[in-house]
Amino acid sequence: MVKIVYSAGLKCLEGYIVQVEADLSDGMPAMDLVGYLGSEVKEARERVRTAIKNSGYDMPLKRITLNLAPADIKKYGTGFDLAMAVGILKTLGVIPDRPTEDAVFLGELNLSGSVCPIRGVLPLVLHAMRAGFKRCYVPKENAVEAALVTQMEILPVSSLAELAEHLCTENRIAPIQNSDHAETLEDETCDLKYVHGQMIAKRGLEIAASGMHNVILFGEPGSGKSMLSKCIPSILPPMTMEEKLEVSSIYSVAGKLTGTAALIGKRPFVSVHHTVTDVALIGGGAYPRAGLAALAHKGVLFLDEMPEFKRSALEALRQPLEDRMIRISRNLGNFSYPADFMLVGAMNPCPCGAYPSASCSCTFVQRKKYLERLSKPLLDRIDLCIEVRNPSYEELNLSSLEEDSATVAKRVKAAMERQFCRFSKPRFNSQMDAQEIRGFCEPDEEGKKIMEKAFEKYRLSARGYHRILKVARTIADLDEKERIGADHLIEAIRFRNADLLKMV
Amino acid sequence: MEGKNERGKGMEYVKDEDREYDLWWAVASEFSGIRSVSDVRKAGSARGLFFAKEEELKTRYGFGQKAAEHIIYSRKNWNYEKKMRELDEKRIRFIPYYDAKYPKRLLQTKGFPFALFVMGELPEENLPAVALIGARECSEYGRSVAAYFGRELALAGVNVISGMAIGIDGIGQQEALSAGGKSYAVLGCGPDLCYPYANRKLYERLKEKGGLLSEYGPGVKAVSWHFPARNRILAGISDLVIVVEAKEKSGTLITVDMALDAGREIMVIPGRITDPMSMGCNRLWKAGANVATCVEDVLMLLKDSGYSFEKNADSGSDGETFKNKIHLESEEELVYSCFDLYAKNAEEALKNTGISYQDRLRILTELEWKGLLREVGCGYYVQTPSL
Repeated sequence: MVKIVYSAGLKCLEGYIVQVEADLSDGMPAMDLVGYLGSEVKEARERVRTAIKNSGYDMPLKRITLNLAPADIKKYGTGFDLAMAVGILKTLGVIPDRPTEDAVFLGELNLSGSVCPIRGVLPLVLHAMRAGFKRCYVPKENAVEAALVTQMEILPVSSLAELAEHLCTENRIAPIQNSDHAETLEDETCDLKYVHGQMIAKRGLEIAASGMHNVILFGEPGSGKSMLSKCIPSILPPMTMEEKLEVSSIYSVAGKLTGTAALIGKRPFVSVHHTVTDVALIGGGAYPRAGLAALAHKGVLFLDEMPEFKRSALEALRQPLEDRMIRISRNLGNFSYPADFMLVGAMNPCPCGAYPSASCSCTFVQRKKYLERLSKPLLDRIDLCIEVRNPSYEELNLSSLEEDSATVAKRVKAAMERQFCRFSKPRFNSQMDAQEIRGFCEPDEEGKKIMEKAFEKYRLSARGYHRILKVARTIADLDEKERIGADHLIEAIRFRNADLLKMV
Repeated sequence: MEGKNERGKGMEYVKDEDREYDLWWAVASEFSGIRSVSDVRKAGSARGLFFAKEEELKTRYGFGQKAAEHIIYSRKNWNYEKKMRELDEKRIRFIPYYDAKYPKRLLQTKGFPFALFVMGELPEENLPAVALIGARECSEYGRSVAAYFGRELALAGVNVISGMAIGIDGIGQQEALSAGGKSYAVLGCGPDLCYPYANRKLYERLKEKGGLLSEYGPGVKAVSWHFPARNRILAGISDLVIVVEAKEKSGTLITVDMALDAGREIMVIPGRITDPMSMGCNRLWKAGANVATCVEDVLMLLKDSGYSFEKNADSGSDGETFKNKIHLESEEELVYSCFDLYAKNAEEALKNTGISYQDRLRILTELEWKGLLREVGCGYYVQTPSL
């Protein structure tokens, strides 16, 4: 007699329902697992058998067969343990064959029979909800995270024995009350009001944030590039619940959600060290895991000392910058993670950092080599070039209050809403294609003259020309203007990411 | 005088078939630095060297063991037709010192090269030629000054000679060509090779609107010790050498020594006494070099050597400055005056002017488009020279 219990598995962020079929038959005492299983799933045999024994139930001298359907999807992870154990207990008659069709079981077992937390509970529960399930049994440690899915009844399980008793007698485990989940909150120390001076840099970041433009910060060592970058999440408008769930799902899959603060409430700021490998940055592995770029989804990916990064790691970012998704192909199939981030690079103007002042000790060739580490195709995807200068003593000790992030965030939000209104969906100026640029970025008469001159003076490429228009569109949005004017264009030109090498 | 004697002597023995051996020697003597002519003189002709026995090479002509081996090796592998074909294909002209086209100015110097390999043209004999040299790691000031002299000399009809290096050399030549003048580069490698490769655009332009000269045959790569030897040619084909920027211990100063040996006038561009890039120039000035603060200074010195110019070279004044030719509004004037020839940050420079952010951006852009300011780094600007 086959008993059926439901569980769920993940492929990247996409869930699928797994039907665990358990059967007890005569024959040599054995326990067989089938269903295209990864090695950690195969090892469940020992975990499940011992856990059942240690929970106080006798394993019969019979042949147990478990099948995880659909059998053509390769299964990874340890989340199927609980469902397998429940299936076996059902065939043994320990748990009455009450219908469990509307429930999904998630959790890893250890030998003593207690239930351990697993990765990716949030996207799993989200998928179970969409698939029409009503209840989810999840490890106790993952309960807060699972409870973010409000339409689902979440039952926290701490041990197999507890679950078995609950299923026999019903209602011994109380469903967790959602709504009191803790959010990670904004980091108070990262606020623009703590940054003194840097008028131009702040203005540049405001423009970049408004249109989600990628930027490079240029400046001497110690001038405040990292500090300014860390403030970017604070001037972006808060995420919607949908975005929060999406970001939290990625963190859940990466195993980075803590039990207490399950919902990622603030926009991620992911700072990458320049020794990062390609795989760590964009994700990978035999079964591709999410990389740092995916963890920066809806937030900021910060590359400090950008030219020091390996060329291959930087080039690997080109594809996610283009598609706002990371696509990884393996012989197991194609995997994709969302990666809609704002790229913020920081770099010195030359290896010693002093160029172009007279104290620069770098040779021409050194400077050239340093700047050439950033390839042209990568620079083509960066819209603004922002200078960060060492503040003077007076600026550092200025007593007057600087504008705080919340005020800037309001303007950014207004500018973003103008964009959403224009595109009639959440879309940013930095994402405009050639046709949209033609439609929305028509400068006024004076502006046209400016662009004509700029085109000739700077020998702009078509792409460079479009970049200036896109940035000018954002500046006009900040200025609450329908048409792009001369002033907007001039500011965009000053912030343009000029061919860095021409400046050498 | 010595040069003239050399030439007379050369003319006597030259017959057409000797050209083969001369070409061989010009290619083979790559090792010998600046001795190649005196070696030939000792042997009577390059043919003499070609047929000399190994013992003879060492005892009579004073070659070392290595040099002798090199000579023997090179004549074993010598193939005249093949070499000629290569020269033809690469459009390189072989000009030995007795050739009528050989630069006369060069012939008058001690240690002139045995032969030149030339792509493009040679500097015209009746036109003044000025060497514009300086550091590779030049400052913005040096860059601006080199561009100014390159341009103005070209406009006055002076040929600009230099070494096509990165920095002062290349910038001066670039500007001279852009102004419609002619420029010639003396290379430390074969004229068919572009060194440094970063200047390949300039290299191509020089082929069209000037010339590439070298005493090294086609395919000879640049080696460090080629460059001091190259510098003597650079000084030799010029009437005058201008040093734009040089550190206290600079390779440029070797060229100056060579130029002094050749009896050329030296001119320097003065700089601030605290500026490391101008130390060399200021020291030369103190040692008695001429000072050039405008192109008229140079033209005047050339006039003393018998050249004449249409442009009034007597005034010696700074003339009407470039900036003055353009009318500036008062705010533009104010912004412009906040910058100088050394890179300055715009935000810092304009801090106390009271001009609003938007206006600053507009004025900076306008000044840049008028060619008065140049952005040299993110947010950093310099004045373009208003000499």
